[in-house]
Amino acid sequence: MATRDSDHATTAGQVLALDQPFDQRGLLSLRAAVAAHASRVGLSHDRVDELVVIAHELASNAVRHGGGAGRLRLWSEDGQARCEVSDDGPGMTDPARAGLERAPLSATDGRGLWIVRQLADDVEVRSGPDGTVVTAILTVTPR
Amino acid sequence: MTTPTSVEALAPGDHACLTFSDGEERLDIVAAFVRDGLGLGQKVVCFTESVPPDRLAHELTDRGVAVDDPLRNGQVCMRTSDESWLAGGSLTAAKMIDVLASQLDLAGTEGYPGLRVTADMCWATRPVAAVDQLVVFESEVGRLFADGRLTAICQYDRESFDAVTLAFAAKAHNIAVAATVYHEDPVLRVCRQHSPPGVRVAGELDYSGMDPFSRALGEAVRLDRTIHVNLAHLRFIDASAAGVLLQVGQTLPEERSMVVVCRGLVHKMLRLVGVSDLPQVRVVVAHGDP
Repeated sequence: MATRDSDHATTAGQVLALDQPFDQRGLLSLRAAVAAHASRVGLSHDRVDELVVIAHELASNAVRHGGGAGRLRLWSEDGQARCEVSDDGPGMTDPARAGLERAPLSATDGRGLWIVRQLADDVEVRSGPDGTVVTAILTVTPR
Repeated sequence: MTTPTSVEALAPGDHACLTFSDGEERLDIVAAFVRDGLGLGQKVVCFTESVPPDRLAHELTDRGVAVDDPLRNGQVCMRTSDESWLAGGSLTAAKMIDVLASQLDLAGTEGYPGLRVTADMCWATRPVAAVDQLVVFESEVGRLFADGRLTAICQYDRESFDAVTLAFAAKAHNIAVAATVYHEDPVLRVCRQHSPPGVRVAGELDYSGMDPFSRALGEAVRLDRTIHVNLAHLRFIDASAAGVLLQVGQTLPEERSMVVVCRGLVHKMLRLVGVSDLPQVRVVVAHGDP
């Protein structure tokens, strides 16, 4: 696969649908933008709703735990919709296990990534002291 | 006029003004008003206009107010303005007051201790009617309330009336009634639901709205044995806000319960976080258009 320049995400076979920085005040418009552009990656109506949840949960994690801001990119590639949220925060303590188990009922928070894992077909998490990149992958069913 | 009061706090003899822009909220308040009247053994007459009588009966039933029997035995009556204010064509303030006075007399003759009236005033904006007569009516009707047998809510749709008439209407009533609103902005509205009692949330709810949502739920936990959480008009809920519902739901004692009405994506989220699995919580899917 060709390497992607951070400012020009598309290469042959990729369709960039959205590239948007966000902060706490921008989550509402981020959700609206994801909903508006999701059809370009070939998702059905129900899955667009799920993608909006995925985007919001990843972005609100970045806002609340990942330094207060981040960037969302949404593109299609090889029959998949890929939603990537990156931040410059301090990173996760155990990225490989993050969100694998449902939080206990008594927990007040910590359900976001678990929800993302339930809704997406696959989730890739890369996290280190320089930040976190989570990519949720949704398989596009041919129409 | 003072700050708006809650519909449950209305006292006999109150002539209350309800200005609304949300049809759901109007029906919620009317339902609570009818419910409380029936609870007091009073007669209830609903002058309805934008909602036809048969649909109003249905809307009240949906909100937990059993009106079928009272409609059959005459304790509840529903009339359109064509059958009441506008019967016979021309409309005058004197005629409207006569209509109300005769209803009050009739209720007394029938043995009811009092009469509750709900009146949708939007007929006054029709060409046949005259807003000036409405203004005279609202000013002179006060005497009917003097002995405390009559209690009324006049409903003014903010979309239908001009600001001058609305301001006048507000002054002509001794009290204003409104839903308790915990939060309101263009994205999210969190308010108390009066009938069935609980909380109503509309719009989009994420973690930034958790505080008013928690406050509304907390108040419902204190006030209501069964808590009705109406999310039928909520388009989006995030994991954190759904977590608030989860917390409240699971801390309810065994003999209490919570009924959550929702649809679509919100329903899916409540299932995912586990709200639907709580023994004290019943999640109901709303049908029809949001």
